[in-house]
Amino acid sequence: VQCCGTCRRYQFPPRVRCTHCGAADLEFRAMTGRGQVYSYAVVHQTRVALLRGTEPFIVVIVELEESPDALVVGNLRDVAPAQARVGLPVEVEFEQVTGDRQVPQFRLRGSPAGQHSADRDEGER
Amino acid sequence: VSWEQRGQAAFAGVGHSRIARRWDGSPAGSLAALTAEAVASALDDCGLKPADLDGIFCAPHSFDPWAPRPVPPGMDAYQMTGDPEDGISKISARWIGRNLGIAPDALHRDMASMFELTPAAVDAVCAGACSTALVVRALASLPGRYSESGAVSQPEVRGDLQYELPYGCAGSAYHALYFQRYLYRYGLAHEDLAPYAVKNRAAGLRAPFGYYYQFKPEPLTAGEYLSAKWIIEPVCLYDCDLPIMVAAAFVITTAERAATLRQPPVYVLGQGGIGPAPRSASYPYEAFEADNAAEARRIWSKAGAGPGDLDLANLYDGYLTIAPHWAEAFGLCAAGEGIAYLSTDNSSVTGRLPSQTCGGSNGVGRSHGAAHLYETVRQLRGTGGDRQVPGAETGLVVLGPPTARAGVGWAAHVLGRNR
Repeated sequence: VQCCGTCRRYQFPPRVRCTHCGAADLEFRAMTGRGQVYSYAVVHQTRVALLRGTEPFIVVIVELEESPDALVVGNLRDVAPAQARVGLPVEVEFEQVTGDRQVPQFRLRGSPAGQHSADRDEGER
Repeated sequence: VSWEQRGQAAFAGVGHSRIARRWDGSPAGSLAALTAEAVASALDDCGLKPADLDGIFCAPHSFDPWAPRPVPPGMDAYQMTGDPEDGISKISARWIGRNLGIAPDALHRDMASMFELTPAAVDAVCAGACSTALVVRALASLPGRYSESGAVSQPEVRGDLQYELPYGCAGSAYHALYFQRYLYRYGLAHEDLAPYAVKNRAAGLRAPFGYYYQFKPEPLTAGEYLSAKWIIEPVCLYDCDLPIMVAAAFVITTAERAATLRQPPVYVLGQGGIGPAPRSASYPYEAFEADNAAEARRIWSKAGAGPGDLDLANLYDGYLTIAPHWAEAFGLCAAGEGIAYLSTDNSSVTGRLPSQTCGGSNGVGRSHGAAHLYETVRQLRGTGGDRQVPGAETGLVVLGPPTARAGVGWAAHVLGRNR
């Protein structure tokens, strides 16, 4: 995530200048990938052609633990829609898409990598 | 903030077309025909002719193109800009200028967002860029699923959308995400909207120009609302305004000229807004709330008025969830109390501070705020019919969603019967 060398604040998506102070000395920082759900929405009917037929799925805005400015968008992939909540602890995982491309996604923190069971017992969290 | 332009411009004429749920494919029911009807109606309202206009403000915006469907026979007479969509899925200033008898040297302004038009026309009149402006809002509702063209239909995406669309963050998702955060912030739930949804539909059923009055004159029950399907939770079917075919037109001119015309002038006492702005889906709701409340205070200050001076408000509600935000931002109620305010008789026509006097977009069908505007102008003229707020002198209109983003901003006018 892009961080400003002058005011030390984060911004997402990346820009040419800092959106907080206007400085140009921006750098990309590696994040822990941990954070919490800032907000979420359960998509039952999507306009995105490539995702049609995969509903329902959860779109999340995640607040990464480094800063309240570090808000990123993704899907919450191992949680049943009825269990989604603001404040859930999550961590990043990278989804392989076409070719060599990867996109960041999120799962409940501590859940085993690669397992995407939508109906897992809530007790184990 | 002092605003030298306070009371310098006025709404002199308003008009709108017939409405329909969708285009039937006939030239007589096309967006071109509806636009011509709306412009004629606004000119008749104020007693002017096309030759009296020297500015055209338009947002040639469409949700979906008509192409690749063939242009129906008989549309030729309406299409004179070389763009086959112009007159069918959208209307440009050029289309209006050429087709409706307005002088070719009139100011022609095509803008990105429907919500920029009336403030820009007021600014132009106040600055002398034109003296009598025509503002047109024309929205097509074509057969088929809505808004599934453009970036959402493509396998690749660039720019900011690459951080949003691959996750299905599109369309109603932006509103669902911000509304979820709003509910969390104030300890509310989606079901708390039900009384407001029911009351709002009832208000819409008293507006003869609306879709529900004309085509579906039935109340919405709390049971129907609460069992409606989710589109993107927490936004359900009845939180989304219904797309309709409609065109609306406004004539905005100087206060001096307005005073010589057929209707009592409705003066622009203050105005402002935010965006379109290059913000992403991850711009936090709390920041929108703070930005919008600050701009609302600036608009009140320009108008030399405040919520206590207000006789009525019509707040944009393209999603039902939006109007509560505006009630809070403009100080009609406390933060977090927008839904409660809009649910009770406090906001009824006979209440403490009437709002949504025609039921907004969810009461009359989608017009991107045009209905909010012509309803408010008529209320301030005293011609609000059986929805008339007694003695209404000052009104607030807010146009657009709170989440000003690329391509869409918001604007507000404080309007008055007196300067």
